[in-house]
Amino acid sequence: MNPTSTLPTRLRLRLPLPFLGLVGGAFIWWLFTTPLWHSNPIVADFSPERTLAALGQLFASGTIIPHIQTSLRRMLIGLVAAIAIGVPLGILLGLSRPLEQTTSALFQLIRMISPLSWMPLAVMVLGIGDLPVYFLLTIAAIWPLILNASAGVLSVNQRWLMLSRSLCATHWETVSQVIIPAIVPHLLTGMRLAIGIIWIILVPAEMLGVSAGLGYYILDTRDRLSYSELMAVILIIGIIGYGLDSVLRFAHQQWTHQR
Amino acid sequence: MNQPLITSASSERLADLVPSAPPLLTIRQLQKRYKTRQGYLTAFDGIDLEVRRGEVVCLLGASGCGKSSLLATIAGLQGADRGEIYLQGQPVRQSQPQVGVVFQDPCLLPWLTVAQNIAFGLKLKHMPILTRSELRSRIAEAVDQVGLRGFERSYPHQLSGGMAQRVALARTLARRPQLLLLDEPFSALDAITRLDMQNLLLQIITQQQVTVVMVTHDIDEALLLGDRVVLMARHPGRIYREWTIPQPKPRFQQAHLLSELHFAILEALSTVMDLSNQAFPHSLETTL
Repeated sequence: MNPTSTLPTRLRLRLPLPFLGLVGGAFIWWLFTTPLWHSNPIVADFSPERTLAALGQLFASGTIIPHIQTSLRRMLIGLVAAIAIGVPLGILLGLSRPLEQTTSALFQLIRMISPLSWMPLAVMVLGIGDLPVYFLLTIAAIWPLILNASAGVLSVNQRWLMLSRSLCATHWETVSQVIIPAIVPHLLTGMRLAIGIIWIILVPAEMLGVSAGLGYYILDTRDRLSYSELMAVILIIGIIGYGLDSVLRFAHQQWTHQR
Repeated sequence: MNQPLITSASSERLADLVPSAPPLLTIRQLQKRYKTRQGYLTAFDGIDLEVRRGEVVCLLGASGCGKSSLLATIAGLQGADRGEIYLQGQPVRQSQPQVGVVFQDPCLLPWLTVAQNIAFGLKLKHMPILTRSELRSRIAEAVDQVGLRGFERSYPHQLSGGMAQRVALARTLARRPQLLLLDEPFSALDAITRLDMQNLLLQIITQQQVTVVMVTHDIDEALLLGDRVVLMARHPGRIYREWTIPQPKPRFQQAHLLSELHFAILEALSTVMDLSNQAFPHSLETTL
């Protein structure tokens, strides 16, 4: 087969594939919930048509905006805290074999504890409000950052380290100007995983006695029996999560293309 | 075990190179061993070498003769087990700012542009502090020297192998080293690019009067660039014989005059290989 003749065909097929997947998912959703043949009003409330109408109303009235802002703010604070602790710790573990060996069992043990298990403890120690949420998000997001940072340090090209030594660079210069830039792809992967985890943990974490946020709003819609709004909020959570992941995926591509 | 150092050919050219001045680099009874599972492997032993200011010395030898290991030790990238290295009379035990190293791999940092890669070596703590304009002019000068004007903002992945090696050379030259250590810098390049790079290196050596110790396994390269060719034997690595090359540089148009020397070196290399093959079983000292 002539590859030049198949190229436009392949492009035509390739470009709409993700879109086709979304349309397919929406169709299945519509099939199981549409009021056209589902007489149960509760089921019909979950349908795409009512969800989209509720979504439009949520944005038109501005009701959802403060909740989105609150959730994003919490996500950002959790992420920044996880980066501030996880990245330097991961780099240290990558640089120091004894430190890595000392902490490996401890960290593996803590890592395997579901972040949500810390919920009661977090509330007991930090009280009700934003603090336990930040704690849960940070402890959930810190592991991919630590592991990716330390794996990144261990995989730095030995020739760059040799170059650095041949140029008489100090230890700090090697870390700051060779090792840290070299591990950026690893850090971006760690951040991508961290954001994914934070966004998943955020919703149950916001059910911890806070009065704003998308997790709180889901409970609120459930209590008001407003299921179309509930579905709209779920849709918003999915779209924002996808958007955040896309931004980091784009950053990762930009960095690795440059390399 | 070590063969006596045999010197041949004329030493007129060497006499031209600051005859009364002390050598820039002095190596005395240098030895390096590596620990292996079988015991200790002696990379090189009993190395005595003097390199005068402005001289180009080519270390020639078969793979495994310890020439790259010797260069890394001179560069201060690894310690010696015995012996001393003196640079301008001062002992060398770690890498020195006045020594520049160019490896076989250009070792460019892929997240930096050509100009930034050159600047990397200039902005380190051990280097004298440069103003922004001084830094710019140093980079421009180095880029011009290696003929890469217009590529300052290119990233390493956008460069060919020869261009990347030019950047590596520029990065080292911009630091204005007194001693340039080259570890088979052109061996990964194709024949035409290699000739081009050899020509460029020769121009730079002439312009900057820089002292060079170059590791190569290419006899022709050693003959084209070197003032002195030092042949190393292996198992363990040691200096077997050396030749001074009297012909003036550039020698690209007079390669036929060097053919006799070429064959002499080839014969010596062949003898060295035979000797080292016989000696190989004794090179592993099971001292563990």
